[in-house]
Amino acid sequence: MSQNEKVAGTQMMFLLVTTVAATGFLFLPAITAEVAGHDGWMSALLGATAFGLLVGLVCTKLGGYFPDKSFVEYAPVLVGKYPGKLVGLAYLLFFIHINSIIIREFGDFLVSAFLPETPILVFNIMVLTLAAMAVRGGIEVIARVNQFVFPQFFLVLAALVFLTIEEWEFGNLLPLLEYGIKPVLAGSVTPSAWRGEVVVILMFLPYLNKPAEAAKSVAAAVLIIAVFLTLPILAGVLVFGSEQEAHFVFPTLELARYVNVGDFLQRLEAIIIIVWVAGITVKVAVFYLASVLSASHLVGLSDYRPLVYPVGIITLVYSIVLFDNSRELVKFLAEYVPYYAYIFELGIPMVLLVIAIIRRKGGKLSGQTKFFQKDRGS
Amino acid sequence: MIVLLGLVFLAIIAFEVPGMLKKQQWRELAAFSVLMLIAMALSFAQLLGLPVPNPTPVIEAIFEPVSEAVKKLLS
Repeated sequence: MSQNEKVAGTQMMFLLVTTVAATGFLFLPAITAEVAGHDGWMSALLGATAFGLLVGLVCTKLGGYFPDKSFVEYAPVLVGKYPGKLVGLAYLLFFIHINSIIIREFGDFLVSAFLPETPILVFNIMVLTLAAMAVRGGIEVIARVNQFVFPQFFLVLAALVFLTIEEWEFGNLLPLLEYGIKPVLAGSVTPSAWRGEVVVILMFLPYLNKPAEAAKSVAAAVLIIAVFLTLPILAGVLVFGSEQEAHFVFPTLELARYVNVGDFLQRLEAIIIIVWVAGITVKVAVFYLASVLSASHLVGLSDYRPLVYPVGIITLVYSIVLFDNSRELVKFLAEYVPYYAYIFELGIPMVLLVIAIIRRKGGKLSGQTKFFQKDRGS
Repeated sequence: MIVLLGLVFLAIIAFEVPGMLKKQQWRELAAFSVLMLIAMALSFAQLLGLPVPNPTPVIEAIFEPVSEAVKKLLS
């Protein structure tokens, strides 16, 4: 296996932060405001973080049993050759599907907010071509691109949130838990699925230079994401109130339009594009790499690079075909994606973790050597 | 448009295949060919307006009951 590439724990952490937060900060506020009202920030801060930590814990624990293999490689070892390959195939399709949805979100936002006359295909091709180049470079390249992108992302988001500070109306948050805890839980359904995207770590664990730090990096990433995704929701409710927030398609964009410092610093929405394009490119590259790696590990290739373009074209076609319009996309994100994603983010890894623990402790497989021998044979 | 798409595919094949032949990576070549065929089938079908298998309605149908149940439980 050509897994000589290594990334540091902190690089992986920031990569995961960009991966999850890049789309979440634009799409989540409207969804949580609609379901949880002015308590939406609690949904994003508490429920989703708990879920994200659980996903991170399960994935890193599972990966810890096979430190130099990816999920798709060790699944056949755990559950038998054909069921394992089936699981691998399911994850390949899952990654491609999620990536198509991400690319669609990217194009949809640019078309609906800034460039309504341009065909969405143009944006999708652009981001996919950029990501393809990054993916051919490998995970080290993506991690370094992200080291450049992340600070901009952080600064722009911080500027958006804190330049509106004059308009904050803390009364908008009261009363806390007006309708009890249920709407907060209902509101955390979608943010949880978003946070659960840290599941891509399953494919990247072998690339960490210190596997022992994996759990710490993922947990730190989930906590940083919690801040990143809660602040825009909180700022949106503080400025607009939850009722108005729920009516915007992209509350964070409206927030940027609202920024006005001394009649001088205005119309900051253009800088949202900086974050959006840069962040999405990294996010798409991460999921793209995950799907290409799954495909190549599924059939046991030593080099994944030849698969980059074919997988990209399949992703591109689906980014167009999946939804007819923006509304359909948002409805799908809010109502169906979470439950579908839970299965892949928590369900399957949890089942495999239980199997790994049982088979280890039951002593049917005598340690690591047997795992490797069995794998060589397949 | 169809010609353009065909050219793109030809370019990708011309770009990838010689390297694999030189290194005798037959497994890679096989995987590349299968994925490339799927990609070509899907994109030509989309371009010509033929039906492309779409997972969205399937996923919606499967998770509709779950979504409704959770909504009812938490409202």
